[in-house]
Amino acid sequence: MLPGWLIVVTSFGYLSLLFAIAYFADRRGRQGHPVVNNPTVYALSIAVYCTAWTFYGSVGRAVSSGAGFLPIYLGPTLMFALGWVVIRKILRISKVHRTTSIADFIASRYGKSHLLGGLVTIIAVVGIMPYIALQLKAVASSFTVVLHYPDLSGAAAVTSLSPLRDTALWVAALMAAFSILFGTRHIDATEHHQGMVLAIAFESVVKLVAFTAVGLFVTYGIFDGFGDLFTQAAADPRIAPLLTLAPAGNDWLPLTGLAMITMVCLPRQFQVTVVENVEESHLNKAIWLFPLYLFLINVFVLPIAFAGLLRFPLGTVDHDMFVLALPMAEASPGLALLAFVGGLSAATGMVIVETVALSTMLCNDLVMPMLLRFAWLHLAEHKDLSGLLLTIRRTAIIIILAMGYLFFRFIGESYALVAIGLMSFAAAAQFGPAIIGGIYWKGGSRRGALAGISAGFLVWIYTLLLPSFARSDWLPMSFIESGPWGIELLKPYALLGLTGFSSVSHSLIWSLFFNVAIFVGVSLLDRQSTIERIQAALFVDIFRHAGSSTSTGLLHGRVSIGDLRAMAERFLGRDRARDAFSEYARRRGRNIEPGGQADGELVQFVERRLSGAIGAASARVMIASTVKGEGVGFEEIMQILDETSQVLEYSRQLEQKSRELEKASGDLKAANARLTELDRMKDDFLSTVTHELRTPLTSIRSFSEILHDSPDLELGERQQFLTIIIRESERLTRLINQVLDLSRIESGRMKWVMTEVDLVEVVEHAVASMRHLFEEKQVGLKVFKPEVVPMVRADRDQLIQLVINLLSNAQKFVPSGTGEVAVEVTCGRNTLLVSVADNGPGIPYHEQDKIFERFHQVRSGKTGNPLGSGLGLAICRGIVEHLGGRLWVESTPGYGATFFFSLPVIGAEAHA
Amino acid sequence: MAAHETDQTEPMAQAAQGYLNDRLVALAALGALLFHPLFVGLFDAPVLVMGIPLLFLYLFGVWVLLIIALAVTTETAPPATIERDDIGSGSF
Repeated sequence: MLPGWLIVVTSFGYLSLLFAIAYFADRRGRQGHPVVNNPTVYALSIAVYCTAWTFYGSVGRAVSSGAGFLPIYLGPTLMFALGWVVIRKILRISKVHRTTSIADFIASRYGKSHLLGGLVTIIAVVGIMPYIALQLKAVASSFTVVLHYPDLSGAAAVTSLSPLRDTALWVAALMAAFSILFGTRHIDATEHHQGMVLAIAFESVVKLVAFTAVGLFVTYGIFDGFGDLFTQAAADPRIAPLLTLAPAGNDWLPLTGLAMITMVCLPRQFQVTVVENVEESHLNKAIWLFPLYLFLINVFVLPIAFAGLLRFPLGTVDHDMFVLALPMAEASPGLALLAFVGGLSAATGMVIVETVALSTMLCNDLVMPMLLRFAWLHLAEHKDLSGLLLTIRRTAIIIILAMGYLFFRFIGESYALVAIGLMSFAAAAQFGPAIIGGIYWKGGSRRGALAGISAGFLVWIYTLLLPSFARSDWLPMSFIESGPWGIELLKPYALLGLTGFSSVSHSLIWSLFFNVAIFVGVSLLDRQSTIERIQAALFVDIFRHAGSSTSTGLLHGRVSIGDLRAMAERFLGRDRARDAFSEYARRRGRNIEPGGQADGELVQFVERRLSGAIGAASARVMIASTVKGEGVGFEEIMQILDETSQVLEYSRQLEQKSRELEKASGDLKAANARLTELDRMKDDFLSTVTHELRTPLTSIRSFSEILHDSPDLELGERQQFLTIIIRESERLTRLINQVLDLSRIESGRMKWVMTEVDLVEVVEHAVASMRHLFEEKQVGLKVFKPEVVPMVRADRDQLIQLVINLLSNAQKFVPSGTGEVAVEVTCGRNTLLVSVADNGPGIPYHEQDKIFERFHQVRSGKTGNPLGSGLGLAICRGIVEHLGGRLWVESTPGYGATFFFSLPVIGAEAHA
Repeated sequence: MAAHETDQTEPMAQAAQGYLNDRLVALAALGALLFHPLFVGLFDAPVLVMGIPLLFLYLFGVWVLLIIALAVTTETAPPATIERDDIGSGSF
């Protein structure tokens, strides 16, 4: 017989022990000797995953589905094998960004969105509050069962007890007290709740010990070891099917996946794994220690289930209570009490962590944003808001537990509550795509996450929650059996005709399908805002940014350090704000004057500190309201979006390179065109030269042949032919000399004999040597010249040649008899100008530039025959330009032409 | 000399962490494969081995071996190079 008082005393004694442990850990922590800074404690605290639903419910599931209960524990094992990749990343992000909860994490990732944080909070509360009720029910049920010891069948329905005699109420009240005392001691949620964590770790030990004790007792006390137990079970036709995979059905894979996702999606798992994590390296041990814990607590599930089935006639004992019933049936009161305490520890551990996690979410992501938005003026009057924050959290804890208790009282026996275990898993799984997508895919947008989570949650409501209402008789059963309005495709357990899965797997498949599809789809079509892009980059590239690039201040604006500190004090409290600022000053190695301007780093530091207190989204609003001219500098974004900026920089360089390349290729093209032109000119030159050479050579050869072949030619004729030969030879020589001269001038190999030259004397010399030719052709030649001219520096012979060339040119073109040529020398300011004017036919305008090119021959209007070699003017221009002067022509066709050349006088450079 | 040593151990530690990363992912993939219903189905026979159903022996056996592999892999890895302070303070 177990007296009622003994059970009550044991229960409350156990809970008192929890308080003592938590108190001890908190005090040691305050004294600077943290006891939770230990990987084993960390791994054990993660085992809060195993709730009363595990402790009692695993056996129940094993009875109905054999090995089908295992995926719920294999999933986390696989997830922790991936822990180094996934969980470590979430851990690092949360530490850097001071994440306080899963809602905060998602809100922060998607641009510090209030809306998203609120949505996640609401879904978490809706999905998980009934789960808390389930824990309370487990406590009440197990208490009732133990109370009736050793009578197994007389347990009354737990909800029919009067509230005052109801253990669940007292347990709930104590849990509320515990959560308030040790879960909301101070408001910086990232300063770990050491007392709570140690108590949870202790509870994990207790439930493992209790369950294992019962398992050993059943296996080796009632039966003769595993072999005996399983052999008997295999022989029993009721049990034999449970030894196969068949009862697990198609749920194996979906449930494994579900359990994997929930490791990062359940608020309590996020709380212990991420928020309460002291050191990242602790994860290393948890990677194998937590799976080991799951393994150990599951070893005896099947033996206990089969033993219960073998021991009790069908239907006499609730399968979920086998853990308690077996020790009781074997008259082992101590063990029954231990099992009860184990179940109690599993339930309380979950309740404590879950309420703390949910209260933080409610406060930071739902209540505070509303207060800040709707009642900002009212809040502004408060000097210290840290008290308000704590009050909100504590109230939230009380409300959550009160609602949990009411749920249990009023719908405790309904299907809706019993089925809530996996249902709430499926609800939490809706956060999975946003979280996993958020840490690996920068493209995930706020609207995408909002739409995805909403869609998944709605599908969850439709395929799990509403049918469970129907099963609880709150909705007509026809809703399940034939679908709403009789539409078969909308049947909530066979949506779009999908069958063959359990309701949870079915719901999970559809809700995650819509969740992921809409999240990805909307994100792809969406344009992220600046803050979203920044947060996305910070989250996804956390290992690259941590430590260095986060030093860039994101907030541009002006705020005095005093204002910033005043705001921090309002939320953190005076002492914590002072500590934070002095810590910052110490780290930065400089003093912070309250009157000075806060730099971006300090603003960011304060924002992160505030995030730890009121969540990222609210912290953002507060900072933005304080910092004037808040905005994000373009350079900062580029620095933060390291990758993007590198890519941009790279593409900019590429563009520049391609522009340079284009330019170079343009230059090359021009050079090529120039070369082709030069080549053409060379060919022209050669062909012209050979042509010019051939003409006199042909006539020399023909006349020589005539002389050679006709010895009897008359002397007069012979003399005439010889004259022609001589003249042509002279022409040939002149031509060759000209070609050589030109080539020397152009290549700069001409030998110049520079002296001081009197230009008038040069002109007179040239005119004198040409006068004979002019008279011969009956062309008038006049010279106009000043008395004295300044000297020029030049090669005298070349200069004479130049004037002769111009004169001979003029003589060629003027008509015989009426032709006149005038040479004039004039003094300019710094130059001497020589002009040679004729009254010939003139030069067409389009020819006036070309005549100075080599071999450009002006053809006679009448005969079309060239009148010169085409080299004379080219040589002239070469000479003039070498002497620093200019040669040009002015002509009106039909009225003669005038060639000018100018030469600088000596000393002109000094006057210039 | 000391500086020289740290310069060399840093990349080595990082490389070792990379190996740890790869090995753990490989173990997770192996676990996912071995726990896949198709694979588990191979051992789904009404046979008792030493009195224990083959299916349960397989599931729990693979599970415990996976845990041992995880333990050996993480415990033999070099300690993480991250300093507690660097990450705990928001790494500004």
